[in-house]
Amino acid sequence: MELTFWGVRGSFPVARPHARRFGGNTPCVQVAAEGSHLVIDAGTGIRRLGQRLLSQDEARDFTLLISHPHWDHIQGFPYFEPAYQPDVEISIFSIQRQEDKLETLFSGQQHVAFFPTPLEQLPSRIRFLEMEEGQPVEASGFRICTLRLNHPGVASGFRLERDGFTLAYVCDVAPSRDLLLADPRPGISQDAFRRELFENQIRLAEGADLVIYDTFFTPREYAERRHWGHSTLEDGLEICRLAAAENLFMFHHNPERSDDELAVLFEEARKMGESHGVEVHVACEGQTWNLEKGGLTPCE
Amino acid sequence: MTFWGVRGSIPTPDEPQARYGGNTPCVLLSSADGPLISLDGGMGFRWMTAELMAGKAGRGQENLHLMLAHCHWDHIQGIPFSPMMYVAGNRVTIHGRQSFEGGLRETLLHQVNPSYCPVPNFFLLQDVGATVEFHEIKDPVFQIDRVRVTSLELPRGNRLACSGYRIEDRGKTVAYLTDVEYPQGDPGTTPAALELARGADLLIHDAQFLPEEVQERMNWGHSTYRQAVELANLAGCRRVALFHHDPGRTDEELDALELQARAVARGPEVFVAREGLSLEL
Repeated sequence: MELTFWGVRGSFPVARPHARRFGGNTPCVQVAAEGSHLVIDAGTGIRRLGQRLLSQDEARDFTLLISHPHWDHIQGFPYFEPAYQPDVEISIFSIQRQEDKLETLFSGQQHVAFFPTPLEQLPSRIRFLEMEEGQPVEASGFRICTLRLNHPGVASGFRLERDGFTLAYVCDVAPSRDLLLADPRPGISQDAFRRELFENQIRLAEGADLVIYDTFFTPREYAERRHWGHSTLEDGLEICRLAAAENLFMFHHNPERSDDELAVLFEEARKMGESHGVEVHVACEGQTWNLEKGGLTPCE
Repeated sequence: MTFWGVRGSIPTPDEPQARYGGNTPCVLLSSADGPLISLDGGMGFRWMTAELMAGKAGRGQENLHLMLAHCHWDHIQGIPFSPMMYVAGNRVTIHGRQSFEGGLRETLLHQVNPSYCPVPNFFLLQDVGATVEFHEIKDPVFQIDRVRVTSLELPRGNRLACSGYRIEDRGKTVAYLTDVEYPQGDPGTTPAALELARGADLLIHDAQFLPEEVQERMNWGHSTYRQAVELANLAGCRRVALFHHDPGRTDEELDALELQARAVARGPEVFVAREGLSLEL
């Protein structure tokens, strides 16, 4: 199984010199296993992934998981070239939403005012599948579970299991200690829901080999922008420690963060990780990792 | 004049496009004592206005005119991430034409619909932020202080028309024609294009496609470098900047395209627009 980062930047794509090394495309992560093509989020990174997939003749059936419909997680989809191929099938999974269904939002993104080709006119077969919270589904050979996270609107993380390997995608997420940012759920108090959203992070990451985590902020930045819906490395380490997860990937990098700053933060993070018993890595665009039970190695 | 974003369709923060730049359209026109004008609000708008924050925009005293070719994502996607939009006291006037049911304001409201974008909504003035005004262009000629603006609709194949601009200030003229697709691929068929570009000191023109690509991209609403130069030839422009580069076009391909474009110029000086490039007019 292989993990490739096609987009690692948060909020908006950063085509500026300060972000060239770690990459400026918005979130898109590919998990490739024998005969299956699974992609998490459709930020601008998905454009080049699509071109790569089309160059591999056998790739005709894709599973796309969408954590939530904020621009940086969907804006690449209109440029995903496989969607323009008649013999391609794309299954788009996301957590159940009461209003503003994902299909409506994808369609709105490609309204004629904003984009030349409406979603409905794309030649590929596109299916939108809603996942019930906490109820695992099977897709592309993975067992996939989704749980809501503390982020404005309705956002969720994913837990993927296959061949004894577990990967958790916990992004975008704010810590639950201060504010409830997520749309409330009827029938549960705000405080109880806030605690549940915290527990959800641990459930997603429980015993995971690898957690891709929203480390957008430093603690100082978080203090100024608690309502933005993002976390710090410290929050991620705490979750990994509580969940007994082994590896954490720093992800969803702040658009203002320069490569040099990120490299320094990563060095500090590695040391902090050691004291939590967590190995810390940093998501870098274009890098591929080999995933095997008990091991995580970068591919050349 | 400074190019802050020259790429079409989608930002490309990728190595093959690093030299010419991957930010989507934004061109800043400024002068010591004239109004501040941004042509389009693509991703370049975010970085351009971040730089303005060091000056009057940071103190809430900036007055910016933003002119939109149309509301496709690549022309508006920088607006919600622009720091100057969040400073009370700044004034931003958005000029453009209706392209969504209800008008320009409603179109831009869709962009900051909380399902897509959890930012304070400055278009509704619900939170502290810049004062935003909308100018739906009806009369093609209007004045911003001493600057005369002419805006005409341009064809885009079978898609919604977009707005081209001619900006005249103290005897200097910049024409901005992007996202235009001419009938039969011939700019001579379109009087509005000729009128906007006539005698311009600088024509900034869409050059997304190569002549050999255009056949299979009919109705995508773009031009070729050949059509851009042809309009400059016909309209007697002094210089033409090839603009709105295809997201897949590499730096080396743009170098080659510049040479090909120069070969068809009859008079105008031709160059490829590059992010960060400034020209004194």
